[in-house]
Amino acid sequence: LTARGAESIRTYEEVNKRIEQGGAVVMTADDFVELARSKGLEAAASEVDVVTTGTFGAMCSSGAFLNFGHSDPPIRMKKCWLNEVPSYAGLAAVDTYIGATSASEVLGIEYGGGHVIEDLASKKEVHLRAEGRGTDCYPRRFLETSVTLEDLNQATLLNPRNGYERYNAATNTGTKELHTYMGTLLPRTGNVTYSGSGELSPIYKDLGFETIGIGTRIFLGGGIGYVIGEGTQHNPENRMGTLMVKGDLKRMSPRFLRGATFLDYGPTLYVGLGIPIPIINLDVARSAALSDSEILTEIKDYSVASRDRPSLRQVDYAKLKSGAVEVNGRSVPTSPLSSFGLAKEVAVELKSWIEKGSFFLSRPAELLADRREFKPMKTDTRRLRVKDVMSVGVPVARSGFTVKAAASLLQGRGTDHLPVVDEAGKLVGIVTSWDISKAVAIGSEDLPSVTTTKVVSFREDDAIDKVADLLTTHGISGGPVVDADGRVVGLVTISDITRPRARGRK
Amino acid sequence: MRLRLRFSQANVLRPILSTSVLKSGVAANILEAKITSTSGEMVVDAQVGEAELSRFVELLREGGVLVEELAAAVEIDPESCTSCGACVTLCPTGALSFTPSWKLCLDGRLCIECGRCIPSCPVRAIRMAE
Repeated sequence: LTARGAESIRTYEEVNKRIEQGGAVVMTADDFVELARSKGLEAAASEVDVVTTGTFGAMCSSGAFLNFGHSDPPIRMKKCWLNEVPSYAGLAAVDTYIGATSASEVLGIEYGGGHVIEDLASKKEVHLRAEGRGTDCYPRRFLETSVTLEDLNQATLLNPRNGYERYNAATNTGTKELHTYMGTLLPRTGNVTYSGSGELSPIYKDLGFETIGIGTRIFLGGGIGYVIGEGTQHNPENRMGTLMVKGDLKRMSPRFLRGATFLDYGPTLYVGLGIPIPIINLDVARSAALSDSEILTEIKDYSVASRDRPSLRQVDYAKLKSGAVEVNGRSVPTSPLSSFGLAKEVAVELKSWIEKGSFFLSRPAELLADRREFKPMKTDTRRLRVKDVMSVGVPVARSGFTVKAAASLLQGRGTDHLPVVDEAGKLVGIVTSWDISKAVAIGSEDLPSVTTTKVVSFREDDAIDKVADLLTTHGISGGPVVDADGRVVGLVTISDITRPRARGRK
Repeated sequence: MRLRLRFSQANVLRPILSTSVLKSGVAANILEAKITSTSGEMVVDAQVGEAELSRFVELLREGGVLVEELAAAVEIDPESCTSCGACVTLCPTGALSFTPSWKLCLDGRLCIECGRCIPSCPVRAIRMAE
């Protein structure tokens, strides 16, 4: 077993010297798979200096830091919009971060941060609007202007999570069509969508993170970028490694940075990302030679609206790319969401840069973690129940009451709901202040004429999310709480469950 | 060839399509059918030779149906399309597919103008043809 990152076949210096002399052997990852298959792994590893990879897919965790320079009089932006897309302004005076998924306040999800980034890369004018607080040093309170990429001091694409090693494939066993970040999922397992570029996938070609690390020079959005660390949610042990990358937006191309919108989901950015993998040792070569049929992922059921979606089966990229896979005994058509054509173009472009000596490889300053604990969100585990939020001692009416008697019970009690009970105190109906109004309008005096007898009621131990669901489903604002014998013990309303106490803020 | 057939209210109670199919022997596949209070509209596909098709169309026209031959119904902007493939499985007739080099292509003869692909294109590269 060699140490991770061991340069036992060739060193970075040797590779770069060959690039300088124009003699480096560079091959796209899919061609390397073929070569290893036909000539054997060791022969392929000794022949090829660098394998280039590529992917072109929706990468929501992307964005750009922009610096506009100072206006006169100067402003310290506290709020900022680019083409009416809000960007983060909680930084110094004229710095902002425009995130790919931020949606336009005018056009909604049809136009978002990803589109702003594409427009900047296309050298288009972008409308800047900002509000400032107005301070002694930054007196300006409002600003509106147009800027292009050239007008900015810095425009740095900095993507916290890019280049997923692989991603889950998605399907929908439910009866309703779903619109997700995995595209449109047809009901009854009508299709399977998947992303990632299979055997061209950057990280999958260096599974052990032996060459990809902090400082690795890469192809990013048509320009040169760098890996600056592990991406957020980096989960290498589960083959879900990710990268944090940055690069100069001014040198990128809109061909490899495309704003996009997923139907009923939101805006995002398609990013072209390519990583050169120097074949420094046999383990790296083995990983770079993995073919589509050796790269596995899971088909998850997106009809389950939970973090832990069930996996329906394991599948390899060769099957996914064949156009149909079997799910639950039936052949289901597949749609990719990343572009294989552009992924290949990225790998080919990177290869040509290296071949013509305009791109050199960098040894990482530090390798990325190849193990990392992956945690779900820590959420408040104390689930609020009805008894935590309900009102007690609420007035109730007997079924024999008159409308007037019922009205006087509601009067001044700050409640609109009056449970109606029988002799034994058991719930038989409900009257709301609307029903009282109705009784007055139709001139009715006996309560049963306006009493609703099919009552949605709750138990003290019901979780408040259940209450919220039922209230929404039935379009009502509250209901009585009963005990095991059906006796009214309290009342729970929308305002009870939306009060700060119910949301955990005392 | 895909045909759009328009029926007026006067013809609603007559089995014109079936009659035309039986008389011409052309098997027509109904891709779409809409009926309103005042008219009806259908899109049918008939994969037959020219002579048979013109006989079929003639019979329909004799029955009082307005017949229009349909060309490609949607257009893909080749500059904008990234060939990602998000649209492929949404197409009910298989009109959208990949070439062996993963370029998206549209078979206009199969498109039935359902428009399912249009809003699902992440870069909005597909639109209804003029």
